[in-house]
Amino acid sequence: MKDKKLQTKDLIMAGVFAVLYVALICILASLTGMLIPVYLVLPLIAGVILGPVYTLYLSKVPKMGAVLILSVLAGFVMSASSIMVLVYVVALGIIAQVILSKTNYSEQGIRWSYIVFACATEGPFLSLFFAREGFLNTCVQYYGQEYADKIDAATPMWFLLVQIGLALIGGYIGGRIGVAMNAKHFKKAGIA
Amino acid sequence: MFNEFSFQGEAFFKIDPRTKLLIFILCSFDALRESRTVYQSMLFIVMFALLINGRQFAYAMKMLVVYGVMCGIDLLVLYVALPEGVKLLLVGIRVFRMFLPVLMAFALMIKTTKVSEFLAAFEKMHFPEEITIPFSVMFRFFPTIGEEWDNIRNAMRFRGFDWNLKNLLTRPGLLFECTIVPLLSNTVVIADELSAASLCRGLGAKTGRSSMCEVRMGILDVALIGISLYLTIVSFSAY
Repeated sequence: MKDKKLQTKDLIMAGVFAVLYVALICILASLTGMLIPVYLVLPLIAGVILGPVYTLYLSKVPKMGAVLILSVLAGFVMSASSIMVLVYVVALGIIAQVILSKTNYSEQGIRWSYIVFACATEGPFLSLFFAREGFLNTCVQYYGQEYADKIDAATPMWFLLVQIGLALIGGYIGGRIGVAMNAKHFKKAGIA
Repeated sequence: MFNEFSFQGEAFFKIDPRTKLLIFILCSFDALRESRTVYQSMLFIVMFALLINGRQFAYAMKMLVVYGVMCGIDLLVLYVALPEGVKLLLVGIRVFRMFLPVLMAFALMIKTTKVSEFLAAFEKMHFPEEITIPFSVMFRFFPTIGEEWDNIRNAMRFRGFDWNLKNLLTRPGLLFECTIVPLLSNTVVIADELSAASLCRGLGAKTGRSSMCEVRMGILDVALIGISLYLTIVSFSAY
């Protein structure tokens, strides 16, 4: 009989996987931090690498609220630059939860929900965008409208969309790898 | 690197965890709305004082140096004639300066609060178990993951397959698989053991839990909440 409610065991599992999720993001960011071009495609790389973590977590804890807990914890740590990141990540978690509930935690469903959740790695970049608004406002006061326009043009908005696109692609690839890895390693070892 | 996420020392004057949380939230709104140097410096000074209060001397000094250098660059842009392109690049540094107070508020929250204090505060705010248990597990677990990571790298080195640039470029897939598979399976095993241990200690029992540490709002907390609310109001009246 399958228990639908989260037990203490599941909550501990959630905490452990959240650490893994956050630690991998930290390692990636510090490895790629020195190379700016690589850093800017971080959502793609992170999406691929975190895929197995996400899929294994959900096949261990296929219950209502599991993704939400992951999103709250990961969002909390990623919110080091702005609390809005937490709101963004939790919103993604809610969407992922809806997809999972609709698809009844099938492999297909986990993969689709991960495509959404992979956008969470975009969070830290998003806070740059929030800061930009306030910054441009004060730029007008300091240097005048002309200068503010120049800065506006130098930091194009569409780049954010490109990054989200990259995160989606990363989510697709990562989900595929995760499901494959589950079948290849973890089911055999009896831990998936 | 993972020590960053842990409690590091007792403060001179204790501040309630809830106050720290509020300061972080307000600060992250203020700092990103308002980038005038006077206002940013005010935020910086408040955070600096709080970090010193929490005995985070080294961290606070590091931040002071970073902030000083960034302000110096700012003056350079204002008063020295530079090519337009360089100027544009240097102005970008101001954006990163805006994040410093927020980062410091976050460090204040993480480094000067014990996990059990956090939990006691969460319980007082009636947070559900679904958040408090994973939260406490998370903070206990950062060092463990660091250890596992080192052990896996050692094991890979034994077999002549290290994390270096050559392997990263020629066999990235294999490198990734050889790291993530043991990392994930170890994690699952450790989680199972941890949950067995904590069930023995009565976690997840239906009755309420008691706590050794007291969290209480004092005069200092009221004063700090007042200051941060004042700073928020100033940032809203700026335009």
